[in-house]
Amino acid sequence: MTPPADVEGSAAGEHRYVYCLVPATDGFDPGVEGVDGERPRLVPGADAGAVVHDCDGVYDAEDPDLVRRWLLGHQRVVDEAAERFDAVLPFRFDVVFENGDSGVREWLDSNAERVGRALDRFAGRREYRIQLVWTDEAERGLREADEELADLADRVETADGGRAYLVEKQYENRLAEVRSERARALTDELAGLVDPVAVETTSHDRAPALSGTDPEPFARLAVLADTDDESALGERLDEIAERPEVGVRFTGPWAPYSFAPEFD
Amino acid sequence: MEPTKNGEAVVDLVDVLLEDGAVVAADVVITVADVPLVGVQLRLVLAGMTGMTDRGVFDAWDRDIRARSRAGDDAR
Repeated sequence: MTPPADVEGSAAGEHRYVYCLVPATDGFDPGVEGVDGERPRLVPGADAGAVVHDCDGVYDAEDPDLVRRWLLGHQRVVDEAAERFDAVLPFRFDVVFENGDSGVREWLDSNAERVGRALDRFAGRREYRIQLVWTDEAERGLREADEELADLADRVETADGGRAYLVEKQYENRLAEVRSERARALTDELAGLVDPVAVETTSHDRAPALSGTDPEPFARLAVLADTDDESALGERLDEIAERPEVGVRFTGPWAPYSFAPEFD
Repeated sequence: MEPTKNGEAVVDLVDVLLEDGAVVAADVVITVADVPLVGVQLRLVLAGMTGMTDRGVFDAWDRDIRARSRAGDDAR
């Protein structure tokens, strides 16, 4: 087991790994293992509490299995807090505070207003994530809907020799164009369907940190919504899921990572 | 449709844990060299991580999540 990176001059366990903030100042024992087998506990501020475990520094490793287990540990604790509390403010993996419990407490209190606002905003709400992917039907559907593409498809069938390569390239280029247009339209449609039941949405356009699932999604939306609106959200997604060329991945409820504030 | 929290959702969530969630820029939080918050080695490891849904450790989490939602359903 790789111990976390030591901070020079620190005593053992002087730092605090922070999982999340909750609207409680006592009475929460997560009861599950967090990162690196540590048992988290609640450090109270005046109005809110931080779920933490004692550590020596930032977690850093070369072993992917170890990192995976750490990430799962983090999520396990946040999930537990989300089960227990109406609102939870999840931290990014690997946020480590200095100066023990009092360091955390001081930070909680000097940021009390901002923390309070975020927890109020998250009350009764969770994050849902929606991805759109192309199905196996998609290419055929796009061909049927676009004359130029259909025409090129025919020509690919009949072309031979050197022409075949050229026409194939033209087909591929047109397919990419049509697919891109269609993706934009579907992404807009998704936004239109989701907006009425969302408190806030944000799209995740960045390339994922991990090579992801197959097929890769062409749209990725994170939605902050009242948990009471979960079924309504699902029903709206049914509309877009009906389209044969689109697959819809709907996950959640998660703690609202995508909507958590950045503190100075 | 209903939302899920297992299988492919897990891969997406890992990405979320590393890039989203609250962060603190103040000196009260440790940074590693000039790389804020996430260790240097961790970034290298990320570049090499693939096929996480194949790994046994996620199966255990999957079971955990399913058991949890069953328990939740029973409680409702």
